[in-house]
Amino acid sequence: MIKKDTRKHLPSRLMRESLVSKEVIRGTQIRKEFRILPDVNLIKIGGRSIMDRGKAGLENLVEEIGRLRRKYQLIIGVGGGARERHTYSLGVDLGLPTGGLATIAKAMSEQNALMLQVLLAKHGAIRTPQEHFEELPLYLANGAIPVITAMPPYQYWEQPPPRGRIPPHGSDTGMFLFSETFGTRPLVLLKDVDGLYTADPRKNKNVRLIPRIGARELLDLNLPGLPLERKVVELLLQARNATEVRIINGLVPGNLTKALQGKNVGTVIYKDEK
Amino acid sequence: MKNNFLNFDLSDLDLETQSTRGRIVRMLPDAHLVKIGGQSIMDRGKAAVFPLLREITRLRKKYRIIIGTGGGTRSRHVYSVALDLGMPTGIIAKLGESVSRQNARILHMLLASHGGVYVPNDHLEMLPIYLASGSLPILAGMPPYEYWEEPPRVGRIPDCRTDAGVYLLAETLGVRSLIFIKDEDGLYTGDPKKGKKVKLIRKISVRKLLALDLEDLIIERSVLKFMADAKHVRRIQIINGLKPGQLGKALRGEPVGTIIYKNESL
Repeated sequence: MIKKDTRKHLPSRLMRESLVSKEVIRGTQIRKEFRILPDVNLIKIGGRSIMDRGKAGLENLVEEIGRLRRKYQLIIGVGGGARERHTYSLGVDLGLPTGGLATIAKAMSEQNALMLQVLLAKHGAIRTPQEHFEELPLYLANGAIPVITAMPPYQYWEQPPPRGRIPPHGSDTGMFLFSETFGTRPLVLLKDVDGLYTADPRKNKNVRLIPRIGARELLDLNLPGLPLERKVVELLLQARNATEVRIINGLVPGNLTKALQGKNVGTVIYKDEK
Repeated sequence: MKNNFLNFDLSDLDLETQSTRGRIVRMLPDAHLVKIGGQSIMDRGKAAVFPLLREITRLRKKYRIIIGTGGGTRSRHVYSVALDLGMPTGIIAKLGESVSRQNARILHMLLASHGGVYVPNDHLEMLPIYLASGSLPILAGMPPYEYWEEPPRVGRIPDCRTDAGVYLLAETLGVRSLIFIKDEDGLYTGDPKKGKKVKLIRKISVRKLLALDLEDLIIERSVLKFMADAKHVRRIQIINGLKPGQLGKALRGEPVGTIIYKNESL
């Protein structure tokens, strides 16, 4: 039995410390975190809402993105859409664990990323796997549009959700966490609705568009459905760099341009807790 | 694509699956996942590592064992430097990943003659053949979240480190047991290394432990949170790897160290 401290330590402020200690954790809080890619505009194209529509959803959008990249640095991701949902429903029926569902679902958002890159290739789009993220500055400086896999690589390590079995970290969340870590400009989510409504506009007539709302406020509204993953709204509360997300209608030409110009379009959800 | 759920929103599908009952597949129901601590075991060098590995090579003849690794003092060092530079959590998580991978490769070299196989994350699907052939698969404990690690509520140290990574893998694989090998007899009411008056907790439910809201813990807090939602891994055991024989007892199901369990009513 070893009694004295025979561990070979490296001197550091965390040496011998338990990283679980609340005091140690509090000590790592800072006011301003490093921003790796502060000029990048991060765009997520909806899988079901845009991509699955094919030409009707993408034709105008591709040209608009092509125009925008001459002025703006762009990084794009896309969701998995109907095939992702099919994967989940089949997988749940077969009794696959959540981590297994996350692992197989990722391939669908990769398929869509490939198609998007093909469509945008003439405008400089390149597929950028995470192993090449350190090269992003080079790609951006040369006017390329990196297309990344929107679904985060949680895979077999996906966390069990409090309810149900669907992986909580979907492609909206993946793009949001990218914007948080890289300190990009606020993530723009392209969907097939004008933004966030007081109820689902496809099911109800008596609805109102919400132009701006706090994340806590939104969670407290307890809406039955949201046009973005709930996890994004929850993470906004604890974000440091990514304190805003914008939802716009990607089927309306000019909306993305307005969003990048900072004009009032769609819905902005912001961090409303310190 | 004919499918009942096809026209549903993902949130509708989410609701639908909340009412889904039925068994979830257990991929490796006979395997035991054993996590070897970084700072607690690896950083002590051969004095602690060799006796433990001897025990593991004896036990693997009887049990199917998968090894997960921790980080340790080099993780703490790189975290310190990165924290000082103002790095965001996602970068700190990516940096931490490398250290648990080093430790997995170290254990592979030490255990190679006993069937120790280093398993990279994208070879996870090979685990059945490794186990069937009597090998000892060794995995890096850190989950592959890297740039996508969630910002924690307080501070910048990633919430999901090697304890969480190993726990989540155990949950997905549906293993028989999950044992954390550390350098203390189990979970105390405080940090026994800081010399304060602390008491060993032999057995406690997740709910009770979360309610105690202890200032420090021997296991990452996120593990307790995941346990509350987990379907398979309802019990974890924390044992002292510096005491010979504890791992054998734990694999036999004996209550050595601390057992944290999940109430069925939770």
